[in-house]
Amino acid sequence: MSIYQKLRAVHLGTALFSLAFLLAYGIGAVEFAHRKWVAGSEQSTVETRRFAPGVTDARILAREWRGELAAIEDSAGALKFRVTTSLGRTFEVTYSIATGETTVKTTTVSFLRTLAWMHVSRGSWAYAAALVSLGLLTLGATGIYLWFQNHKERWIGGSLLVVEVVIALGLIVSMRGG
Amino acid sequence: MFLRLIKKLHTYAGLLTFLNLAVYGVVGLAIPFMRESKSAQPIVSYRDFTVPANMTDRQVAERICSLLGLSLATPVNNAVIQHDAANNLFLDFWHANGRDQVTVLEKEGRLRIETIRNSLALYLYVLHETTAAFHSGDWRMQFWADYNEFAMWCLLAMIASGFAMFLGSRTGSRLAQISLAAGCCLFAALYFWTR
Repeated sequence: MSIYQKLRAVHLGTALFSLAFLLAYGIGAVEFAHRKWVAGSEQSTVETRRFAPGVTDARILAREWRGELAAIEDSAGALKFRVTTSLGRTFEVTYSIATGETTVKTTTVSFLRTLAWMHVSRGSWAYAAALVSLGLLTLGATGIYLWFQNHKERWIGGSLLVVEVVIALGLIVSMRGG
Repeated sequence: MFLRLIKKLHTYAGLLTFLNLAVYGVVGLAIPFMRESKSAQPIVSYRDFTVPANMTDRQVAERICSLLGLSLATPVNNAVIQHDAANNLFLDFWHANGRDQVTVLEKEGRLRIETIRNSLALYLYVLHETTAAFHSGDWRMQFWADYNEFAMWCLLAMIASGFAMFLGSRTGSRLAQISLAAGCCLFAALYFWTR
């Protein structure tokens, strides 16, 4: 197997492994950039649950849901708080300290908005982004090699590449200066 | 013929946006290790400045923005113009390089400038998320925003054309099948675990 064939296999394998993530990040980026194009829809459901009464710490109750605990409010014998998952689903919980009666409002964001959340999520999604970014850099490096081996495309491709790198690098360096 | 056209599109889209995609890659790699607090400590400086008579707060803000060379913070939006507890004009300029908070001390005839400079990783992060929806008064940033928008669409075009090339010629490759399955399984597992 020649180097060309090996690198082509690496390029293909990396691209296909990263495909679902890159597609999600790409579509998520469009969602971020053009929020007005598609109206984001949300769906909410409300359910009633019963927990042991007398709990005064929202953190204990919040263990029932996986996500970030926020907006804790302690008022008139009730605990209110919100838990948000990595992909934007929220649980708004109202718990009665006296009776343990609990109302949970679950709000789910649209699929497009979920993709946008993947783009900015911390935790495991951030590590996935790092892995896919490594893949993207690998695709760039192997892609350049594969293109360069195609002699017919060298002049046109080389001109495009040089112009792009000079312009983009010029902008990045110039703006960093202020 | 069709596949050759697709391959050309794939190659040229990649070459035309090579550096933007490299920025995406570097930013994505840096994200798990990046926190906003990694910006440098604020630097406080003072500068003489006399506010001309009969100038509105916005005109003062625009003049100071120009004086400090903060073209990346233009156009000055409403959120920039504030007043502090002592009712001094307080200007909070955000830009790709960080933040400049300026207190206009009119009685003393000077400005108190608190500058926080973004780390290189944070600077590149801001650039990677700047697209055509963003409107800047600085031609360089506007050009970057438009070009970055183009790169975003090129990335999607490359995904589509790359997958089309795979379907057209390489579906039999065992490595390709395993890679695709592994990536999709990881994505699905993460999705169901974190949703």
